[in-house]
Amino acid sequence: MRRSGSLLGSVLIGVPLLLAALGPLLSRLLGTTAPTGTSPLLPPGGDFVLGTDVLGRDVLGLALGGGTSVVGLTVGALALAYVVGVPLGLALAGTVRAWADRAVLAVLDIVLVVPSLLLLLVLAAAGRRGTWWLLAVAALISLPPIVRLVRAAASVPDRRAALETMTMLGEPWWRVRLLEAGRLVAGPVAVDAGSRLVLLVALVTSANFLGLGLAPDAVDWAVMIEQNTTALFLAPVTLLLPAALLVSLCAGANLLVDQALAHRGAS
Amino acid sequence: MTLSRRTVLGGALAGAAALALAGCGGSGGSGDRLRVAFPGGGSRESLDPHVVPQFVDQARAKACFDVLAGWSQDMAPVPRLAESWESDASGTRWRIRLRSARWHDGRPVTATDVLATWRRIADPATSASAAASYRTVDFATSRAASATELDVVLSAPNSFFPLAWGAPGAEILPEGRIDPARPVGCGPFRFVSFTPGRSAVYSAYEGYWDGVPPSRELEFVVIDDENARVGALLSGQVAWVHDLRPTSARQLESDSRARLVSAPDSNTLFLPVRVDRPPFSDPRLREAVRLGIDREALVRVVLLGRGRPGNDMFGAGLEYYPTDVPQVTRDVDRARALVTEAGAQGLAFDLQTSTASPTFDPAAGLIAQQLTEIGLRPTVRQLPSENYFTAIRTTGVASLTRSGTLPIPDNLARRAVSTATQANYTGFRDTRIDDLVARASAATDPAVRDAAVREAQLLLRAESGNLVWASGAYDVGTAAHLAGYDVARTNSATWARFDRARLG
Amino acid sequence: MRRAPLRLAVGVGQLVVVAVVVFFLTTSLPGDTAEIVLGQDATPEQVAALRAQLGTDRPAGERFADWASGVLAGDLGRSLQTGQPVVTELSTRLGSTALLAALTLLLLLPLAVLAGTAAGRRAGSSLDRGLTGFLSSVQAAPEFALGLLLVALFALQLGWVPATGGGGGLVTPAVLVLPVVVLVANQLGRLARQVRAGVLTVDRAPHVVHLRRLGLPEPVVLARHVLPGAVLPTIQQLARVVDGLLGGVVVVESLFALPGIGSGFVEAVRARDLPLVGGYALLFAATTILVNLAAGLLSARLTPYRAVLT
Repeated sequence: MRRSGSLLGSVLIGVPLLLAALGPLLSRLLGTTAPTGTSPLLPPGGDFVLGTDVLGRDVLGLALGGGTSVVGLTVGALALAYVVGVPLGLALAGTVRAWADRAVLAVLDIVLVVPSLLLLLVLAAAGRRGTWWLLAVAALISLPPIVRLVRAAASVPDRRAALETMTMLGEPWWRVRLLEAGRLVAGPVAVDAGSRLVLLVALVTSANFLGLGLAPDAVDWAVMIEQNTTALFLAPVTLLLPAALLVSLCAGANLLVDQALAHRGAS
Repeated sequence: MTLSRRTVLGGALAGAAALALAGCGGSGGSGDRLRVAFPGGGSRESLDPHVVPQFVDQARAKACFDVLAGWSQDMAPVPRLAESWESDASGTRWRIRLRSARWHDGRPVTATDVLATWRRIADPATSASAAASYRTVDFATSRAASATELDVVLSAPNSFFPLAWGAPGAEILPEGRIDPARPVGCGPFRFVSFTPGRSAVYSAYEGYWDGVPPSRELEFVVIDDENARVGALLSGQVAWVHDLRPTSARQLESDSRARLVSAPDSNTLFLPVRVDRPPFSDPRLREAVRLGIDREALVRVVLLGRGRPGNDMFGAGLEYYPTDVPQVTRDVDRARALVTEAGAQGLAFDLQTSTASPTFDPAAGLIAQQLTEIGLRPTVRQLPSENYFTAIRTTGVASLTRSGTLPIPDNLARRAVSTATQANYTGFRDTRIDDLVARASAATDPAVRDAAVREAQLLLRAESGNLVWASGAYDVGTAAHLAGYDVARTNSATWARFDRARLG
Repeated sequence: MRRAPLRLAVGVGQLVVVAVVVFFLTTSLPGDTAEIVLGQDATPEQVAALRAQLGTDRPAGERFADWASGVLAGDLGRSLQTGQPVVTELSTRLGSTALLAALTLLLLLPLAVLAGTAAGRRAGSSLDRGLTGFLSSVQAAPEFALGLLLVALFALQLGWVPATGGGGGLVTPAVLVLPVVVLVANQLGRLARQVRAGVLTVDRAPHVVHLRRLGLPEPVVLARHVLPGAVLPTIQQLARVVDGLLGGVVVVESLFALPGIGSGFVEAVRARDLPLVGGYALLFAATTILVNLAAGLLSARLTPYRAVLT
């Protein structure tokens, strides 16, 4: 049972990840780029296996080449947020200076309180579009909840006794506060990472829906979904295929995390 | 505590379920109320019929008020409140006779109302959309000859003066009873209520001079998202929607619940390039772009074939449009040679676009690809849609714009003359256009007038940098069973006019 | 509990910072209200005249000082677009969104606890995997894509519910069905998984195992000892749910043509309507801060040990 769950999870997450890594190369090898001026919304079959989208682009080529940016963007933002957030959260949970704890949280909460959409609206209106800005905003708005979560998880009552004991036995603070505490927050953080991936994918696609995201002619699953919303009835595959790939990525990541956690909990 | 929480929760869930069950399809154009939907975010959202920056403002003004003369489908003046008019030989003195019409408060529409209206439009404090067209009215000498007769004196001859009466925002107002909060008009519908950003409700005016409207009530709603407009139309919540994407238009064509009433040649699509700053101050590069873009492909991809390639002149299909000018077609070799000759291979520049029109982004992407093929290196750059048209007047070297239908002389006099600031996106200013417009306006011989307009159009085509890549449609959809609304070009007298429309 | 006044003071400080940040971010946007509301056909003289009339030609600092002193005196000012008081603008739009958010939360919270507990107590079972897979798929579908699919199926094909709010306000309660479903679908997976992870950890914790061994009835163990510990990390996330809901509300209100505060906020930013943008920012920030405060107090109550150990 458990193995089949992991297998399903691996397949679900593996397909989009592989496409993100190798898709552009594969697309070039297969020559799945429609020539300039190809008619839009051609049905599947013929020169184009999956047809063309509303802009006359090869749907297969878009599916192959469009994962790199959205996957790189979300995974990159996530990594950046955890690299900063986890140590910060642990340090806060471990500190005896309550005022420092409270001050850092208060500052972070300001980010939490400024509507993330306003940040995106402002960046877009100021002409700051594109991958790097989106990555920075996505990482920034993920930071406060990560810090809060890590801090809360490191304070779970039944594990604190162990840390107290280690401190009394004279272990260095970093081993107690960062490594040991890190081990006990790994579970919640992993669950959170799964959810947060979904959240970031949703943020990137919603940003595109509101006209705030990547360039409108970018080869990207999220942009592709947005561009083809009106083609839902005329060429459903142009909308459903990239949506399915993104859903598969998120569902796979969550399944894997949950299985790993169930395994750990059972042992 | 647990108990009370459970009770509250249970009650709330039951309430939510009841809400969900209570809904039974809610059909929008219920009974005698006709509901029509426009996009319209960011407008001033006032009911002042003289400040009408958005289509929804113009349509609301049209429901409540009326104009002296509207524009026909080929943009010639057609009588409305004015029954007839004539000018002296010079085109400076006009006599206008009004038909018998009554305001919603029962008082008659008079010549002094017309003069007061024009004074208000010309007053800079009003910020009126049509102000430029009334600048030459001499208010000191113009007068009401009788209650229904008007003698107008212009400071310069203008044989096109009747066209000014049909411009958006030229609605006649009752003198001394102008209250934008509770407008009194003489149009087919009487004002009932208005919530900015949401809806405006009107009721049929039984005393309307052109017959009582068959729909007892008319409601304008603002729906910004295009998907939502299509959904609202197909599920019967609204009976008429403005400004659809080509894909939605194609979808509606095959849906029995809706009808497409898009007028061909009602949307001119431009690629303006700046003639007053490098690199396109070099005529060779302008020519290279003109020959480098593939208009056939743009129409096929961006408009889904719903339009025709442009020939770098405004107003295809209208009165005064020169039809004998050869169509520009793509010539990649010649374009590339011109780029080389200008020493501009690999020249990088930004192509500005926005979501202000759904055609801009796809067109920009395709144009950028096409120009890459002739040796230029354009980058698509998206600007905020809300102030896009004012931003591109000052920044950048190439962008995308569009225009609804306007009479060609009106377009020349308001937008192409060297003093015009409004829609000048290329920096082209040439007093030869002013002279030609003046000559056409003063002409008593139609042949002279036609020749002058034609020469101005050709001059703009050759030098203004305003490339027209296509002439398409502002797509409009109606419910399948809406009777009494016909295909109409944007800004024409019958466009967005609902005094004959009825859900059958 | 005694920390509540301090937290409230911090909250007020945050409000001030947010007000400053939002105001200056918005003034840094290109274009201004006069230019935007008059549209593309306005002449420079007309724009200049309206600018002078609205006072948008004055320096940003001066306008902020005006606005801030008004806010301190309890006056949020008037919308530059419509001339209506900001309070009126907010309150006319608040009802629709509040109803939407309330219905969403009413369904969301019980469903999340139910689904999370069911999955967490039988971790690894097919029920668990089915629930988790389904919830994360639904959640991963972008809001607007999910909304479009639901509209296509339930409104346009089956005709069970209206496709949109019709733009004219709430015609029938049925217009809320699809928006609420989309919002719940998007938040449910995240919350349920958080609860599930919590249940998973606490359910097997030594003290819970011990209590079971002592023979305490299972419902008591679950309700008094497992759930409080399990929902602790979830409560910390409530503020995020509010922000997520706001983002969702903006998309949903646009997609279903519901005139609420989500679409109102986007319109206000688009029109550079500073007093109105400021009003919205204060409203959102105050809501988030209050939810945060409540979450903090609640989790302090649920963590009796912390006070002992630190």
